Amino acid sequence: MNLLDWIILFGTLLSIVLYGTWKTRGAKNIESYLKGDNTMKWWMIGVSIMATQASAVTFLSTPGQAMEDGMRFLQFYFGLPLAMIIISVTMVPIYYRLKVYTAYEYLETRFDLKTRTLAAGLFLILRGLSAGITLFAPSIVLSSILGWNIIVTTMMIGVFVIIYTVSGGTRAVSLTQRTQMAIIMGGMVLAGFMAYSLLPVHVSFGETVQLAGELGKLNIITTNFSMSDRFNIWSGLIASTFLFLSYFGTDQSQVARYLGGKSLTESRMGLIFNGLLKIPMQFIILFIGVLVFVFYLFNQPPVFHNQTLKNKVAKTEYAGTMNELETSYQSVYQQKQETVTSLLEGIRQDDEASIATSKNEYYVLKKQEDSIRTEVKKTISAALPGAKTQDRDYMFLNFVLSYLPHGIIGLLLAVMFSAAMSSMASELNALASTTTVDIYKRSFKPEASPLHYLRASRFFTIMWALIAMAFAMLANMAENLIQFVNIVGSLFYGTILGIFLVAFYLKAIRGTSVFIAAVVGELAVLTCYFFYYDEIAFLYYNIIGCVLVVLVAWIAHWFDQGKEIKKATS
Amino acid sequence: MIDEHKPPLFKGWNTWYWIVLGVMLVQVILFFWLTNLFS
Repeated sequence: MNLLDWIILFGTLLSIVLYGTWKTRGAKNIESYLKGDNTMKWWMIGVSIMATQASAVTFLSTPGQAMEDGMRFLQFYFGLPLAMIIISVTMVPIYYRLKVYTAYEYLETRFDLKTRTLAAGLFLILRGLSAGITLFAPSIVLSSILGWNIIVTTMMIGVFVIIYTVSGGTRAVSLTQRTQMAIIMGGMVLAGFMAYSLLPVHVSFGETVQLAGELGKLNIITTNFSMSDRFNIWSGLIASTFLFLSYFGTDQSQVARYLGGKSLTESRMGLIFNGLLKIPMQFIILFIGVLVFVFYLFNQPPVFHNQTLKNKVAKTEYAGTMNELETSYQSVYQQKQETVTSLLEGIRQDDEASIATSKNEYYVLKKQEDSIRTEVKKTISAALPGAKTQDRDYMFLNFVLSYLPHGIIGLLLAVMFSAAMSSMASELNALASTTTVDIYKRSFKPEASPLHYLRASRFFTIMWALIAMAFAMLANMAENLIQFVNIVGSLFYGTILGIFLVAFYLKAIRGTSVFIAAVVGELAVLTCYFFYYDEIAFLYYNIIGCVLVVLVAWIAHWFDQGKEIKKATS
Repeated sequence: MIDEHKPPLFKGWNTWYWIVLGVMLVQVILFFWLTNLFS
């Protein structure tokens, strides 16, 4: 990075913060602060929903996902349009009719206080953890680029978000998200063009796509069903629908986005907007990863994409081992490059035999490359115990920093930070709303003035920001950020969705039955996670939690009814 | 009753829901085609 990049990055972020704070200053009551005056049009709601979901994790991690595993991750989003329809039909009208601030308020109307508090509590744990991950991703990036301590970088981003979120509440969040989304979409399209423009001149777009396809990166649809397989069309259409129903229908960070709508019509159209655009947006982001993959077929990638960590190893006694591994990697890469050239020729001549031979050679060499990379990771672990050896989340970032022109680097980093800030702002706002409305006001201080609750909301916003920052600094990420975020979500969303489904559709079931069911459902999901992690893909936790809650609630209700009949007759 | 205006462009919401489903189906078919092109 040079001075131009820093100016663009910090100029963009500071402008967003100052603009958001200035335009939304003077929130006078809790209604305006938490619900935003109900002035949002459908396209603003749609943008806000998309900006809330797409955090820095999306842009850091998704291209790397495509580079390593191809585009089949796209199937994860297939359930989203279905969920948008179901929520538009069922949930949004109910929230509007009851004029609720939070989704969990509805549960007390339907069941009782303990069920409302349980659902709110599960949400607070889930969203609190997620806010930490949302903050961790860009913090670790910045800390890696600058060589600064992660505590400093975490605090820097956290403070930026706190300023306008505490000051302006929901309105500030929505307003800043519009600018952030424009930067994000513009930046990603630019990244795509740049990645393509850096390919060798003699490789056309069609040949790029064919190369990617022949080497297995355009494997968008996989139809094999297996409970342990994370991404296939079945998990995408069925399990993901449950996940998205819960995320968009019951998670306050999304519910708040569309409850701020001018009318029910605007809210529904915002959800439909999201249903139409989300899959194409994710396709573009994954395809950018594929373009970078093809780029690296013609330009040698680093043996390990987290350059900062690699440079640290170079200063230890393992430097020699690392150098040898890099030399081997280079040698294998050169052979692989020749194979790719043959493959390209085969594609141009439409010679099936040549294509098949080249592919076989490629995969043999790829296997050798992978074992060298495994050795590199072992060396890093030995040199720096506790270091994270998964570098998938650094692949795209490393490409941006190494190959893109100055100015664009600054802009793309601004994209990642904008995405992080937009998601985190929604999350903090939702955490504060739920804490204020569902916990503090409901159970601790029911009779205070509106000004008191406004101040409490601001206090809770800061409190949750500090908790998220603490979690971000302590978090030790799993294999891949984008999957980890969804694993955390899947641990809780199934149970919460189950509670809401019983609330909407099984009118006879009462509070105690659903409360017991929720506890059982959550314990079952946690059991799957801790004891059957390899056997059951995380997306299925959503179905397991949800179905168990509904079933157990019904059984508990049946027992309850039986007891009442006995009581009545005796 | 909630004060609700009709959806834009069409008389009822069902048309919009069918559009969302239709677009999703077209996308899935396109992705199937792309996958099969190279499998």
